[in-house]
Parts: sequence; structure tokens; C-alpha cells
Amino acid sequence: MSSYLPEGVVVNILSHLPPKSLLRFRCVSKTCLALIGTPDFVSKNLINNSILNAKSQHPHPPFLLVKAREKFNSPSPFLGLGLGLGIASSCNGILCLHDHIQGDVYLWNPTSSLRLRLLPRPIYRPHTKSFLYCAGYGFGFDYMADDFKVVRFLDTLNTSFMADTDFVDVKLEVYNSLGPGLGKQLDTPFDSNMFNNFALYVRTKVYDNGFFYWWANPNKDYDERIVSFDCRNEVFRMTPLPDRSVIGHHREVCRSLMVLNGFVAMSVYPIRRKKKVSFSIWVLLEFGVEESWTKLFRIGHYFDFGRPLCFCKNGELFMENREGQLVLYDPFTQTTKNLQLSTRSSGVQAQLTNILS
Amino acid sequence: MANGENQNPNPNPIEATPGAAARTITLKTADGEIFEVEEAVAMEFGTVKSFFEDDAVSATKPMPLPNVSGSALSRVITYCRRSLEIRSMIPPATSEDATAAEAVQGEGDLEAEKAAKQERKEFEAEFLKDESNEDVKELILAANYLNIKELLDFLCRSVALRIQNKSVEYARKFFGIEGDYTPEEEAQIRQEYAWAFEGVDED
Repeated sequence: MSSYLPEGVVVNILSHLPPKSLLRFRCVSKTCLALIGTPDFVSKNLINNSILNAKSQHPHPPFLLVKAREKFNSPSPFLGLGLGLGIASSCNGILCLHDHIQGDVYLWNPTSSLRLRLLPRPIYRPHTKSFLYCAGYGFGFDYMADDFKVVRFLDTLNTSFMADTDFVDVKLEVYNSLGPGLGKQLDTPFDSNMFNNFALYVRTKVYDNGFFYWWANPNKDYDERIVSFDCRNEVFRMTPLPDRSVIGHHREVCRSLMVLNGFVAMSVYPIRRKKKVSFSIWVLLEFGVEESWTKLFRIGHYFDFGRPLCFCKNGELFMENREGQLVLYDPFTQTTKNLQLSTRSSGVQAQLTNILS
Repeated sequence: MANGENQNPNPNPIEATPGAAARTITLKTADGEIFEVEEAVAMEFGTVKSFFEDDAVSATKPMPLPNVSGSALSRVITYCRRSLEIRSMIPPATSEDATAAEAVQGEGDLEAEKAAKQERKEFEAEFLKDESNEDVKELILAANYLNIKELLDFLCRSVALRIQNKSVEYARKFFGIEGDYTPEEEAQIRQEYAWAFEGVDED
């Protein structure tokens, strides 16, 4: 009996493979090469589908939650909290709000507007002569544990006159459930220098399905990394960025961190904006492997875009155009859809979020 | 049948009504084995289903399956039978009676779905555990010929898991494909995504 499999079956098998395997199996035969194709989001070939197929196993598909605040009107539970309140992130219809002034974090379910939970003050007690500062938050739903998780990065600013460095230490706190006092503190494998350059990038941290990603500089000499924190297993990993020769020097290009179906992605566009600008979208097909940064597609300068926001689940990209409106770009058809939502007033925070049915 | 008139004593009481659940279909494999399969299970096979939907065909003669061996069919029947059982764990969605009762039923349905999913996961993990690649391929060819979508998808997913970290040569052997590149062409293709060839299992 022959051990050959019909092509329909081969396609079926290939369609379940991750991108790395597919890129390798292009070598199997000319037919496989044609079936698999190249990762360019031009045609819906096997490799493009593999990048778009959600890696995560969670049962509910993600969708975009766009929050646009026209004017700042505090919703009723927050009256009296002042203007420091900003949205840190959201998940499953619950918003995570951060009061910049008081340093408190709230979890709020807008549909039951009276329900409000306050996260405990940080466990971490800094040394004297230093000042506690919150460097970032992540908030999401962990499907394996069937529970919410909040991650908080704490930084201390050394106020001592004689200190060599401004920042002392970075700690990470993970809160497993919404009950009080159930936080756990973890050491991070890096120091505060990793967070120094937040201001340089348009989007410096992203939370997606149990993973928290952010830009970092482990050594001050621009040896940049993207760090990931797996909230479930509480593991840190780092990955290098593409070489400057490939995407441009950081002084010349703006890079925005995003996530595409569990893969770290990045949009690259020139800082010096002439009239119109073209964007490149890169995706990291294997975390930790610099060579696996793959340029997916380029959005031509004939689209008058301001900045990219985030990906939708079928590869479409949410962007903000120059008038401050929300636009959805489809790389396969290279067309846009204007969603008519204005982002200008006080900034849009567009995030992928999951909704429980 | 409560009255004592036993004019036609039926040895198999379930077959009292025509078209009842215990009807079986006879299948004959390439190596001459005969299988009597419950109709519900046999109707999972697309090929068998269309064969019997043709009115001219009598349900009494064994249906020939020239492309399937006895051992493969036996495994396929086991899978389909179990799959039907698991599916019956989930109550069908009732469109009538949209009352408060439905809300309660909804909760129970969710639990049943979860339990069914877990059952399926465990069953599928066990099913192919000791099968060699050649055995799995034989099952794939059988499922493909018999047109059983669920089984075919499950088998292809499992194969993908088996081969995802393997070398190009391994994949060629599995698919039964000859490499048709010249050495120079192949070297160039490897070069394009060289990183994808790192960390691959030894053959």
C-alpha cells in the first residue's frame, strides 16, 4: 500500500501548524512551497492564516474596546477622586482605572456602576529616602485559572542627595483575585533603567491574554529588548528587536508595540513626518529569536494615517487618521473603513479585550 | 401489546417498530471482514450516508468498502461510536418554550458542555496514544475515503502536533512526497528563513 497522502489531506495537516514549522516545510516540495506561500498578508495562504489563527486557547474571541473620552466627566462612583483618573486597561467588560494622583487602582464594572473594587496599596515598602512610583499595570483574565489578574510594576525613586542613580529597584506585584491582601510580590530580573525610556515610544506596554509586554533597555546603551511577563506561570522572558540596519535607527523611526494573535508585533514609521507617511508592520514569529522578526506588510503613504493602534482578530488593523478618526485597515484588500469615532478629544485608548458571553 | 395476543413473537422487542434505533448496516472491508454497525454510527460516514440515501439501494446487502481494511474500520467505528456518545451528553438547544425555565437550563447546558469537552479531550488523547505514524496514516486515508469530517480533522490536528518540530526529511517521509528541488534551490530556500530550521528534533 502506498504511503502517499492526497493533497487535500496535506493541506488539512499543514493548516494546523504554527508559522515556524510552515516556514521550514516550504522546503518539502515545490507544491508545499506554493501552498504555504510567504508571510506578507497579501493572499490568504497557509502561512498568513497560521499567523492569524489565534494561538491562545481561550473560548471567547477577542474584540476591540475603544474608549474615547470627550470631556472628563467622572462617572458617579468616582466623584471626588479628582482629575488623576485614567484608564489603565480593560478586560471582560471591566475597566482597570488608575488614579495618577493618589496612586490607587480601581476595578470597575460599568454595567453595575456601583460596584467598585480598590486594589490594596502596594506591599512593597521602599527604603527611607526613596519614593514609590508605579511604572505600569497589566490587567486581564486568566482562562486557565478562571480568575482575573492584576500586575503592577513598582519603582522607587531615590530621593537621597548622594545617590548615584535616580532609580533603585523594580518590583512586580501580582494580584490573583479581587479579594484584599491576596497579592504576591516578585523580584524582577532587571533594574529601573529598563523603564527609563517609556516616554520615547508611542506605545510602550501591552497586555494580551495573560502576557504583559513592554520595551526595555537592559543596558543604557540602547541595547533594547522587549520583555514579556507570563502572568500565569510568573516567568520573565526577553527578546531582542530587529537590527537597526533593518528597521532604521531609533532616532529616525517611531516604533509602536502591539500584539497580533499572541505574537509580538510592531509598527515602524519615520519620526520626521513629511506630509504623508508609510508604515511597516513587523511580527515576531518566535519569541527570543531576533531573525524571526518578519516584515508582514507596508501601508503606503497614500493612506493618510496618524498612528496605528492595535490589531483586530482577522488581521485588520485599527488606526487613527490625521483627523483623529478611527479607521480599520484591511491588509488583504488594502482598503480602509472609517468608523467615524473621533479620537482627538482626550485620546483614545484602544485595546483588545475579551468579553465573557 | 399488553393483551395476550402473541401472534408474532418478536425475539428482539426493540425492532417492533420499523426504523427503530437498533437497525444495523453491514459493511464489508477490502480484506473481507464483515462489520455490523448501528445505523446512527454508520451514518456518520458521509460515503455510507449518501450510498443509502439513494432509494434504489437495499439496506440488506453489505456495502463494500474496497479502500478500507478491517483493522482501520474497527478503529474508525470505535471513534465514531464514542464521539456520538459524547455529543449526546449535550442536550439539544430547544427553540420552543423560551421561558424562565430556559434560563435554568442554560446553566445546566454550560456545565454539560464543559463536561463533554473534557471527555472528548481525554478520549482523543488516549485514542492515538499507541498508534504508529503508519497506523495514523491508514486511519487518515480511511476517514478521508469514508468522508468523516470530524475524525479527519482530529487526525490531521494530531499529525500536525506530531510533526511540527520535525525536520523536512521527516515530513517528506510522512507525506510520501519526494523532494523536487535541486540542491542549489533547496539551499536558497533554507537560507530565506534559516531561523526556522533551528531547534528541530533529531531524526
